[in-house]
Amino acid sequence: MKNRFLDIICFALLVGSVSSCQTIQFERPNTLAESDWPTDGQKPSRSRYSPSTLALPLEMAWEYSANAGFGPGSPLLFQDRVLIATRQGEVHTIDLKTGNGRGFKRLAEVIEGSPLIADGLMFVPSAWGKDAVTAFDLRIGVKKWRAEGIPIETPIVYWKGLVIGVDVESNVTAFDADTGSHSWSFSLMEKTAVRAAPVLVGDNELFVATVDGDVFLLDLEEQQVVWQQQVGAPVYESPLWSDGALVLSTTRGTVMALDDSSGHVLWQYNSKSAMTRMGAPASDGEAIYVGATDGNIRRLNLRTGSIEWTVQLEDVVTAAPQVVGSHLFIGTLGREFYAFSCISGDVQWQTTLRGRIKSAIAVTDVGVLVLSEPKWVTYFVQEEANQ
Amino acid sequence: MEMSTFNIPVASYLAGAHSNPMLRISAFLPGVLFVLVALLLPAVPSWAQLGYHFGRNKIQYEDFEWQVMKTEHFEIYYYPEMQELAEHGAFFAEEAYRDLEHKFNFSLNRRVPLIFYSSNLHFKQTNVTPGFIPDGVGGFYEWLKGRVVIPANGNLHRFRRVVRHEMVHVFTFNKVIRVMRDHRRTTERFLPLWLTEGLAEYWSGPPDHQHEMIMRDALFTNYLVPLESMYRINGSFIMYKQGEALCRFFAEEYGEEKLLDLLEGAWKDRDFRIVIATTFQEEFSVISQKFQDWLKEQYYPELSDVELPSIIAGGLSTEGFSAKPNFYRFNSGERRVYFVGNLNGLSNVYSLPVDQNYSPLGEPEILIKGERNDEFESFHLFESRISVSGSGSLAFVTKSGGQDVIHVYDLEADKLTETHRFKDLVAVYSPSWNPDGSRVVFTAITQSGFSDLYVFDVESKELQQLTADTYDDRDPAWSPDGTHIAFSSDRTALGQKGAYNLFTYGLNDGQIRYVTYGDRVDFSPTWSPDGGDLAFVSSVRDDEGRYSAQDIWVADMSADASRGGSLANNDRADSTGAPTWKAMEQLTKLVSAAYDPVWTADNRLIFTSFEGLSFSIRQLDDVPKRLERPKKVQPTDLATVGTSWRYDSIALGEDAETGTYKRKYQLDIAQGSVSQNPVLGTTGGAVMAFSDMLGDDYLYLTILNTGSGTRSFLRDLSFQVARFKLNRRANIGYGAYRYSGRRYDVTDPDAPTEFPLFQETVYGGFGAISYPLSKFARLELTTSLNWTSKDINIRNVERDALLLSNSISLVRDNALYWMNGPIGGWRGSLTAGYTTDVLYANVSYYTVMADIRKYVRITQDITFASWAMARINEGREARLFVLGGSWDLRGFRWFDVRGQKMWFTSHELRFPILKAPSIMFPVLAPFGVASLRGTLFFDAAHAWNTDYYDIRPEIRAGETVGAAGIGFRLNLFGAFVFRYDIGRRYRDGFKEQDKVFRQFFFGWDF
Repeated sequence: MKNRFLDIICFALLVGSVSSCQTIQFERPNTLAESDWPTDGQKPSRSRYSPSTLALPLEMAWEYSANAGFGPGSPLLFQDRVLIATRQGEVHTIDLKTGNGRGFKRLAEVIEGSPLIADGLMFVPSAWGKDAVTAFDLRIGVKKWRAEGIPIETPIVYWKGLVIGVDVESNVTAFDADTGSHSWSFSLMEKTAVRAAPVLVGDNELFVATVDGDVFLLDLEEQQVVWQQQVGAPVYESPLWSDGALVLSTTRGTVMALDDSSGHVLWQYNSKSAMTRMGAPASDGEAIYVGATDGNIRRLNLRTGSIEWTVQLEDVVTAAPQVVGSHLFIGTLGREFYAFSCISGDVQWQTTLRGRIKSAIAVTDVGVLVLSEPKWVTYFVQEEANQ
Repeated sequence: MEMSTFNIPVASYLAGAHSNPMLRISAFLPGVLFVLVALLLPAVPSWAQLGYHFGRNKIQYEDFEWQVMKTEHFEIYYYPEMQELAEHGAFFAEEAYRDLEHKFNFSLNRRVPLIFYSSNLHFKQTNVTPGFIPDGVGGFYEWLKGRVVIPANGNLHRFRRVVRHEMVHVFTFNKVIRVMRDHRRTTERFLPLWLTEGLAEYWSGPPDHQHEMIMRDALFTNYLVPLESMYRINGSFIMYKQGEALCRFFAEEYGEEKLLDLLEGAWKDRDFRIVIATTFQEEFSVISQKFQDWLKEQYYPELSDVELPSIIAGGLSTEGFSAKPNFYRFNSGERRVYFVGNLNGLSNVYSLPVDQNYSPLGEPEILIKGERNDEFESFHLFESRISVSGSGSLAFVTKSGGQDVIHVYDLEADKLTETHRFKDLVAVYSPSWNPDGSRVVFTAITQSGFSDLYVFDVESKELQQLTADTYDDRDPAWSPDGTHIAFSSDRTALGQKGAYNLFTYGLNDGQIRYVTYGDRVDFSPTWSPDGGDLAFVSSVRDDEGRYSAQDIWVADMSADASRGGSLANNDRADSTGAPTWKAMEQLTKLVSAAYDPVWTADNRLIFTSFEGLSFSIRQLDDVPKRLERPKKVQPTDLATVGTSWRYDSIALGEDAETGTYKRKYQLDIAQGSVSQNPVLGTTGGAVMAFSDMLGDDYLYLTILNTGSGTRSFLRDLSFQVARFKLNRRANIGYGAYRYSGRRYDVTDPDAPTEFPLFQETVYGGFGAISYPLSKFARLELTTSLNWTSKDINIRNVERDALLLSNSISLVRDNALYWMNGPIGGWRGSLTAGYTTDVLYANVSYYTVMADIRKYVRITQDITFASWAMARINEGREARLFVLGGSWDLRGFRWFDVRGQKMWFTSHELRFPILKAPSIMFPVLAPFGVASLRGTLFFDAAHAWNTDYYDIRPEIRAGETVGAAGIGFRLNLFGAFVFRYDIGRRYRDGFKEQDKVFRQFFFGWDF
């Protein structure tokens, strides 16, 4: 009898230890620090600017295998852990210092858009299957609710107790963050999809761009369209909002800035070839940085859209760049990861990763997190930080 | 003959070829799987004793001195003679790469190996794929090593397009594999073939005239396949074109970016219809309907205006494939039309008697039998015209050995008189006689890969090159007065866009002059009897870039209006200064296409029509009257001619590194396997296969173990190393092995009859040479030296021997294959060998084997097949031959009939039951039911050892046994054939009926 009791205890401990490897828990998940990255690009304006000052060169601190590929969004950072969503539907947590896995959980069929952390919960959009959004309680490590709906391939946005997702049929749906109940929904257009990340503009407005080039500014309070425009070309990449301008890239060689209050075109940059797919832009408040399938990294003046410099790289640049202080970090599909000078475009540091880089980057005080094919999360830090 | 069971794949590998014409241009997997299966089945008794197998030969005629050019994204394999072409190809490849990076939003992380050949004849020799490559294959992508293999054909525009097409495949494959792996989906799920090929066509350039021809014909003669049924045309030419049309429809209707979305969404579901529906956000049935509507919108407005060739032109040969016509009026007054065709599975030159109105007086008769022997190995069915001189000399081209030759057949004397082979010319097309039959002009491609015009004097044997440039000059036609040669060429400024116009070459001054000009594709000129007109076929591109049907046009060549026309110089526009206008008159407005018109002496045009996916010979009468009412008159405005084009290239040494090709092995497959056998227990093993980039050199490492426990692990460990070299005409193989373990061998004369299981250890090596005498015949030599130690406990036999085995085989095979096996031709082999124990004299026997199979085509679908075989092993410890099973002596179990000597015969009447079941019953399509055929069969055999009549019932020796019955053959997916036979067995020379049997298995007909 005693032996059997011990057997049961051991078995329970074993099961517990195994299952704890497969869950995600945080001690104080309601507390969000300044350095945390609760959403793709850290902020829902998606400017991809971090004031952090990193000293180059960087060196690799650790590498982690997440077992599957990644969508275009950046990793999340929360309480000294990295959260990575994969296209296999899993969210992995990694210790930022050591690179050791701290648990993972399958929360969706496929995750394409980055999850979001708010109010102690992690909200995960699903790009396939019957669930559109899953809410996961980060304190107790269990699913809190699941909301059925049309797949969502973009990051979701948290707004005043609601999580808002834009699905592949261009419906905007708001779910109660606490309960998952459907709050409101409306359709932007028929037979079009949204693949570009929605951008929160100011306190109450949401900018959405469709793959057919229709763009909308929505008033989330009134749940109505403030203005809409047709930009003349498909939008697939994450736009950004900076200083009154909404900047977006198209698949037909253009980058344009729209006035956030009216939607009027402030400027438009046209590359030489309409075949060029422009990547997601980043902004430091003065300039726009954008990669493209022609391998060019361009710096455009934020006010005028004029080219300030261009750097030609060897391979396609599809990942969103990240401005970190005076450096511009960007990865290519040729496995190269660069740091450029924002001012001059000179290469200041460069390294080669194991696979193509097609996702955005996350930034810490001392380093950057890069996602590369086929399944790697790599953390580069300043040399002194790694000692 | 004593050979290791390891040698099972040797002979088949060295022959390196298949007879199956159903070559799929897709992934290539080396024959390593045969090796693995064979090695893990030691129970399979000496197939090697057969020492031969059938199949045609893929011959390395050329000793290519391969070089490698490294550009930014490619490793280009080429040979020095074609360096200029390779430099163009390198440029095309980099150009395509830059474009496709945008379309796929993707970069490749490794250089892509591109293997170029300067002509189709060289391309057919490639070892990158083991099978035969038929005419019409423009290139292929092999995914195992990521190789792209592309032949040139004299046309740089076409070469550029094929490079782009194959690069789309490279990008598609790599992109989709990445998408699948990102989502942790299995990669065997891939895109439907119509999408991969359609996308490759669509993204390689605008639709060409062939695309329009096929789409018009499909729509108007009603064989267009709806989107949901595209699988039914999998692998066909129509699939390519309809796939291209689908991609264009998707792009126009839903947006170009959606094509990439389809690829990026491939992970969503195994059923690609769901991927399509979710990508386009419409019901699949709605999308399919929209496609039909889109097609109708494009083509139906023309419907009221077009003519069917079958309505407006009299039919001469309308069955099968008939093309490239010509005619002759004999001295006796008899008229005949000649053409190249394939009416029953093999290509021939046909002769058709006609009356004065060119109505057929009978069925076409075969004049020259092709594809059965080395002399007329194959015709260029789609490319090469035939010509008949005024005195009745028929000139035609066939492949013969490593190059094309021109044959001359005297029609009056009814015999072949000459065959002309040209040392430096690889491919030859479309000969045309001069008026007195003393010279012939033709197009030829040299090792450089560029096509030019040549004139050959049949008497003096002098060869003169007329053009020497990078333009594609083709379809020459000698004028009736002998002063000019009309030809088609892409040497105009529009040639870079794929346009071909007509020119004349002046034999008096060597000048080339324009005849036609414009954004059109003008081919196959033919002179009117008086030389005043030039008929040709043309497809005209409109302002929106769409090609018209390929119609018959006539250009006015009379007087100075044409003869004194503008010079076509390479580097500058019209040198005479004065533009010249010619009238071109459109004679027909066809549904789809006319080809290769020939103007008869009595003013008819005999031509090839394309209608209902069929090529037929037809004739238009009274051409002068038709010229009075042409469909359209269009002047040729030569004032607008520009300078001719030049394609860019990447120069060696400047933009690309180069070096000699060094053979390096790369791993192709590493595979392990475990098998459970009721007799031998568990067997486990692994095989690794390596080959070089060009597929010329293979290395196999195999290891397996049949041990039953730890102690026997080393004792029963077997391994083999084998190498096969295929880069020369003679294919060579050699290897060494150790085999040890329990062996179940029914052919061993010492093994117990009922349960021939014993322990044997063999150390040895083998060598083999397969020398192709021609495509159809080869000589095979094999030798092996084996130290063998055999232990048969139950019989108290312990025998050691050092066995030397040598054999020689002569094999010939020109059988024509179809769904379930051969349907025509014949195959045979003769083998002689000797095996001796050089150490202990325990073994010494000779072997003689003869095997002949003949297939008589009674009708298109019914074949009578006969097989006769005799085998003798005579001497000490001579092995037994075996028969029995579904593949030879039906009704008897495998290996039931054994003897050191035997004869066997089998006869079958093969007939169709359901020819295209998936089309008649679409529900069968997902199961891959490709054909259902039946057979009435009769088998008989007699095996014996010493005495012919010494009956040994345990091995059924000493009496004639056999079977007769009916069988069914079901072909699945074009790859597997299931066999089911029902019949009755007979014994004692067919005097005694034995039981009724039912036998099920798989495998091709003999």
